[in-house]
Amino acid sequence: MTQRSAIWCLTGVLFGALLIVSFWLFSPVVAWLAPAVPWFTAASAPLVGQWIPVDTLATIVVELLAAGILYLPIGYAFYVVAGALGRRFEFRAGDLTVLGIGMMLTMGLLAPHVLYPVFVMKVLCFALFACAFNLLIGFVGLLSFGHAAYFGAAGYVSGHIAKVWGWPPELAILSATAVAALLGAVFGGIAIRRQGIYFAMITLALAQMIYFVALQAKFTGGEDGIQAIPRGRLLGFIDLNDPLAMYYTVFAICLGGFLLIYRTIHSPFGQVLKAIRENEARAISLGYSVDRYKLVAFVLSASLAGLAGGTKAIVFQLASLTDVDWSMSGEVVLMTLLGGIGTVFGPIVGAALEEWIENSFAATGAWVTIITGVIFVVCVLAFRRGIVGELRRWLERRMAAAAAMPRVGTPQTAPRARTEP
Amino acid sequence: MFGWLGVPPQVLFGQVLLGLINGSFYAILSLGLAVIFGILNVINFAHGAQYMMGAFCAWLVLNYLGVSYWWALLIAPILVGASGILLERIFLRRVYKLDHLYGLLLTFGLTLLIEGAFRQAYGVSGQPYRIPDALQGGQNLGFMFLPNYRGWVVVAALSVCIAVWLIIEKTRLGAYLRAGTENPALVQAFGINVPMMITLTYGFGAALAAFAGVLAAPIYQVSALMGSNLVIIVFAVVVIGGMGSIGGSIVTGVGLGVIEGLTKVFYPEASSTVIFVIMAIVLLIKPAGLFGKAA
Repeated sequence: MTQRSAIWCLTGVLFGALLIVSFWLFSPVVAWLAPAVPWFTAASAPLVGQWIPVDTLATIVVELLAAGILYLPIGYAFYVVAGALGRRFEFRAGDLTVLGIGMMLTMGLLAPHVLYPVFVMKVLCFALFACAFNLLIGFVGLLSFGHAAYFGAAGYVSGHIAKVWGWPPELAILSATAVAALLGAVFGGIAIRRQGIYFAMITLALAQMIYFVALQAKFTGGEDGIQAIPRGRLLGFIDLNDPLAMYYTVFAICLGGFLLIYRTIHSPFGQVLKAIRENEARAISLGYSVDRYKLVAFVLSASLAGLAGGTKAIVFQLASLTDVDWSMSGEVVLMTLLGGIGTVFGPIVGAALEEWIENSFAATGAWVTIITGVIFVVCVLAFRRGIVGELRRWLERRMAAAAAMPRVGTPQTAPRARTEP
Repeated sequence: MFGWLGVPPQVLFGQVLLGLINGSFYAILSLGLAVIFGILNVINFAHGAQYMMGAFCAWLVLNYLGVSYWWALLIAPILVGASGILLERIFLRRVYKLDHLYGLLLTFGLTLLIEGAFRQAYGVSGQPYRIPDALQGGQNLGFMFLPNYRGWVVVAALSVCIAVWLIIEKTRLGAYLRAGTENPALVQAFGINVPMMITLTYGFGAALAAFAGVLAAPIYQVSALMGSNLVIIVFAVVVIGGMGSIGGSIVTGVGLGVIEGLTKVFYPEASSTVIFVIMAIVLLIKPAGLFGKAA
């Protein structure tokens, strides 16, 4: 590892640790602000109390305030440090990835000690799910609008195997992944026969078929789902009923999934996928059998979605219709869109944010759906790069400006003309 | 004696009739989707929500203003069409220049918003809507009992489909629309207000969906979620038929509805999945869809 990578990585570790500290401080700050809740409730009740549950709204406002108090300073520190690093070194695109890796690893290792482990595990499962989805939309340009099918079906398979057959968790999860891969091969094979928007409609329709099968089949338990799935012992000796053991197992599984995705998109195979995304006709004319590449990517994405779904069923000891519903397919699209389509870390950030929103608004009933809808609309209209995409662009511009700026004197004007056409 | 494979005729024809009704809804909705996609290049996921809004409009004006079914049949499409025009003006026109998938995602978000709002306001349980007095009762046709309302729905829905088909294929307005689908820039060069045409087309598609919703209100209960499962089936119908031809959409929609009804008689377990299975088979044999042109 070169010196510059080490510095970027350490910066990531530092800010990851800072964020963990801020998570740890979050509830004390919320508690400190708590007196504002009744005041806010009383103030807003006459105005909007008729339509909105004001006490929940007040809690959310206080949470947002706390988040502002904690994250604005961290954001500013990041602004300063990243700027200083940009002036010190010539900026390269890989630097941000190194920064992200340091940050995510630190946070992943420390998070269960300051946050509720089940919540973090949920975020991790959804993050892997969203990354698997992002592999298709971000790197092949295929919008699979039915990814819940692989996620949810794998949940049922892993639940059934662990509960009824009594297999250990690792075999249950692996079998679930295999079933998802098979399902992905069949559905992917059908769907890639059409391009563009039809592809999205076909995957959505096929996923709806899985939903109906799950609703009617005997082993899925219909509306009840499969409940009380045993977590069991990993490899025969690690008791997964211990929350931290379960957590680090999930962390290892997801890390493996992320590494596989990272390796895939940075391989020659990944380069061909990007070529297909940019110009399919051209990739064909260059002699690539585009359909085969698409199918392999689809199967890979479906199996990783299955890995996430199978793991989630073991963590929550539940496999239910929620995970195969079309709204789940929409949710994973939103996570990816919110975090940044085609970025490495975007889906992880999006998944964390989406789960936080869902957690905060869980008590408000249909308001979760409304807010999800609003975020969707805002993202599509004004925020298509997503959080990580925007951050990346901002950093790159800042670095470029810093590099272009003369050391002393002359006020900074527009950044130097960009080299790309 | 008149039974078939041991199925009593009453059951058989009853399901075929229900299939015909569902089929005509599929036809109206897939027609609207196809027209909208043709000229806006947007797959309107909100179509199901607009169908639901139509049904809710009928229910609301009946319960709060005492407006009858027949007026609702006129008012609901106008109101929902107007809301569609607003949606197009405010939101949809911002995504035309982007990749198609953003149109789908935008209308998906709008669907969540609309459905969430109705769910928040009226809950998830279905609201019953009474069949209008003039269409109560039914006819005994000898081999089956035909409820008047169901007969009316089939006739009304199919007439609307055929009317739309005639407008698009035979009138000058339809010719503009078809030309706009092929080459909007050229149509605009001939002095036709294409942006206005796009807006009105979207409003018209939404109105069609709302019309189907009003027809459906007395058969199915009015609920916030009535449209979302339907729209996915309609997507499958559109994939099977291909979006190239209006007549094709009608034939495919009605045909699939009847097949679904027959499945309900002979193999009920498969009735909710049969359309998706047919879609998969069609894609394997003729990827462009039954009436579609190869891309």
